[in-house]
Amino acid sequence: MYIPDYFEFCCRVKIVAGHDGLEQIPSLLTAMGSSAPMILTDKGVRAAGLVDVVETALGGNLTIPTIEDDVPPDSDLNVVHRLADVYREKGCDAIIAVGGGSVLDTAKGINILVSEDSDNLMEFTGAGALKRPLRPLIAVPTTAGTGSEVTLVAVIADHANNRKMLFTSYFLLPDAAVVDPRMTLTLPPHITAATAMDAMAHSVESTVMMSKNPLSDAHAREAMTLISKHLVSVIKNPSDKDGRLALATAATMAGIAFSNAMVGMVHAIGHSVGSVCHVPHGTCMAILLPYGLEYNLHKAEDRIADLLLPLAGPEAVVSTPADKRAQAAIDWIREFNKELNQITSGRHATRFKDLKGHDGTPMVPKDKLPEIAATAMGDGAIFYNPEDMDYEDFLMVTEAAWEGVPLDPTRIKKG
Amino acid sequence: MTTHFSFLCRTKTSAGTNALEHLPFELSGMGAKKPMVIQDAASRKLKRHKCLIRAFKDSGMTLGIAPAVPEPALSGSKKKPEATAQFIRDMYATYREKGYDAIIAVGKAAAADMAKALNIAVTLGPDALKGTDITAPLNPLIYIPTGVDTVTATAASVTFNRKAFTSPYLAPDQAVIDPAMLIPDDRDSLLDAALFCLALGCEVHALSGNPPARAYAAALVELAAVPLAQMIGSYSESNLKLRKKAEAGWQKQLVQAAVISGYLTDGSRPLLTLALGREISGDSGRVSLGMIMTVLLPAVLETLGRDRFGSLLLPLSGMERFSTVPVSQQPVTAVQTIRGLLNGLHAVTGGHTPRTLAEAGWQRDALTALAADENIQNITRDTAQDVLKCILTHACDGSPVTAPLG
Ligand SMILES: [Fe+2]
Repeated sequence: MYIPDYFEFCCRVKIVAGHDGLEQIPSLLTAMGSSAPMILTDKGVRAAGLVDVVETALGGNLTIPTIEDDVPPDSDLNVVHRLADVYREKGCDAIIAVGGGSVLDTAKGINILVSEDSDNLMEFTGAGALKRPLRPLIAVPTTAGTGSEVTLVAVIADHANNRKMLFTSYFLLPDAAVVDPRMTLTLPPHITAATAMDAMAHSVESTVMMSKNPLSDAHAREAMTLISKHLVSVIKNPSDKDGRLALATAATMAGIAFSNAMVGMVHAIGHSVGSVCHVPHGTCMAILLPYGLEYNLHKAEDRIADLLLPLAGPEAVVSTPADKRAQAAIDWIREFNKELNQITSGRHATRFKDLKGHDGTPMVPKDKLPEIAATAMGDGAIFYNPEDMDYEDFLMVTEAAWEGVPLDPTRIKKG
Repeated sequence: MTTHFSFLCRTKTSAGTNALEHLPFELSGMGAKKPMVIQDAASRKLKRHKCLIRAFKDSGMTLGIAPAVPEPALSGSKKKPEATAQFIRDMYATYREKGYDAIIAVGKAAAADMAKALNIAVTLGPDALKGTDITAPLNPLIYIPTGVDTVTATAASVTFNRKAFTSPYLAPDQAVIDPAMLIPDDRDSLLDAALFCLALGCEVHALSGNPPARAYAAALVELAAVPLAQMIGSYSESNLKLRKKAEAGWQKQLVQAAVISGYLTDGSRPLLTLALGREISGDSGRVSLGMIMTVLLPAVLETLGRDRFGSLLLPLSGMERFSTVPVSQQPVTAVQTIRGLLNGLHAVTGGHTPRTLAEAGWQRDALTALAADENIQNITRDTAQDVLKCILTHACDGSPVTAPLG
């Protein structure tokens, strides 16, 4: 076990998970003294009928003063201010955020304004500007991947001034994350695969980083075990409710692991491919994950070897000699991606080359790779990566992930 | 995993070198400006608050240093309730009068529990200590351990004047484990804490279908198992200097384990080793809680675990050993490893520690009666009587459970 000289670990969010997770919301709110929650969501989630599921589950036990779905995909400062006014006008006393990262960020922003009785979100930017608990906030994640229901950051876009505002505080954490498989039951197979591989990347990367600790590791291992055990069967049988619950739980636990131990180059490059070529985040994670391990292998062989157990199970560990386990873990992820590719009829891509947009054109043209490498260099996620990376290194990894070939070990600069 | 679960640990853990130095920043993030320091007698005597004052030197915050809390501990103590109540009254008055806005508890569980009770009073008013539901965050509370303890200081509960309070908001906002604050524990205390954490962690990890609880438990077993094996291995070390140095290392790791153990004892899940262990060790008084819990552990696992506890072998004995044991043998080997620790301890202490409840002085008949006891049924959350009987009788003679009931 690796115990760093100093570490911190915190997850203050109550995790309420189960097939009846949504039904627990009224009693969660009552316990916090609330009875009139605003439901906040986005149009996509609402159109998918998920808010109806939530409403039905809440039953007649709760008055819902309003359901608001005007949340743009990357949040918006004006929307936050407008919805805070709605919250006050309708006499709400809590927020139930049903959706992904943007809905939750918006909910956090609204919650700051209504709790601090402020009209100006700018007063609270940065780290540590909040000094006391906010009003009740319950997160209901609708994708099993991002883990944003357990992160203490909110990013709100100020479109008028073309900037993003960052808020960091433990007080931003939701009081509870309600993990209910009904929220992910209708995700199509390739999205189920991509979002689960995002969670996989969170847990795998967190255990390889310099900033890991015994508690983040333990959460990450549980998450990996659940994903490797259930993902294939959920894709083959999308109505597998127990499997869906396991994947959603894993996503939350992976979120806890990485928000305490950080992520590294897989996310740095992934963010870049996302912003340059608009490839969905989970797809980037699945493609890049084996490369992130390969690149760090000489610096983190023991840590990567330890992944074999949660990924491949005890038989694989017993039958693989100690010095081969790290490579076996990397191979396992490649094979897992291949299997996901097969059972999603090729929609789960294993290399950037194969990604096609709606019009059939390549999503990641080869001539974009230098721009991707250059953008990745400015990403904060590289800070905790075990091995350093310069432009050449980023380009080498991105090119290999584009072709779908393993890294050439002789080209990795061992610093 | 189960089809539904919930988990909450509101306490932030920070551990390691210079952990104290982060505390002013953490407290200011909670809106605190003037914390009151409550410490137990040992900490007060050794002036551990001086380390705190140093860490707060440039913070702009003023620390108030309270007198030592009256001994013995609050939880479970039958003695001196009036001293405890008086202390709370005095500190409540001081806290209000001087305008304190947070509590830093330094010491073992006595200090932590006193701080929890005081925090109820200063946040909700002194009448709240007569009994109330705590449904919202209390004022900031920091816990700084000075050693190991098997009364879980970080648990989300406290007993004051025989009134039990349970609420996630009772748990400290942060546990700060800084080696500079530790006061050496004797070997028996370290052993007891290691056994306590091992048994608790093994039970939760093996038997709980609650993934976050399983994660905390896995870390708990790992943190406890290595120092425990080393303590047994070097029990006869006669070089005092070497021994003290080793003990300091074990203590550092076991304090982390002890802090984490509190996160699992919030009363939201039945813990048989703990519930039965308290009952049994409390009655005999001769054998420590951690010892009794570990004596119970193999029978608890075998009765309820079926094949679920193979994964314990890794945190118990490390990857090198784990990877040489065929998967089908891993559950049996895990239990053998636990029995091996008990046997090893028995050998190095010249037979002074028990391997079975019989060796701890219990008769089979008394244990059978205990399994049927109404009180036990209550505290083990209605665990079936035949399950309890199976556990207790097998733990009595140390015989393996061949037909699991769970
Ligand atoms: Fe991610």
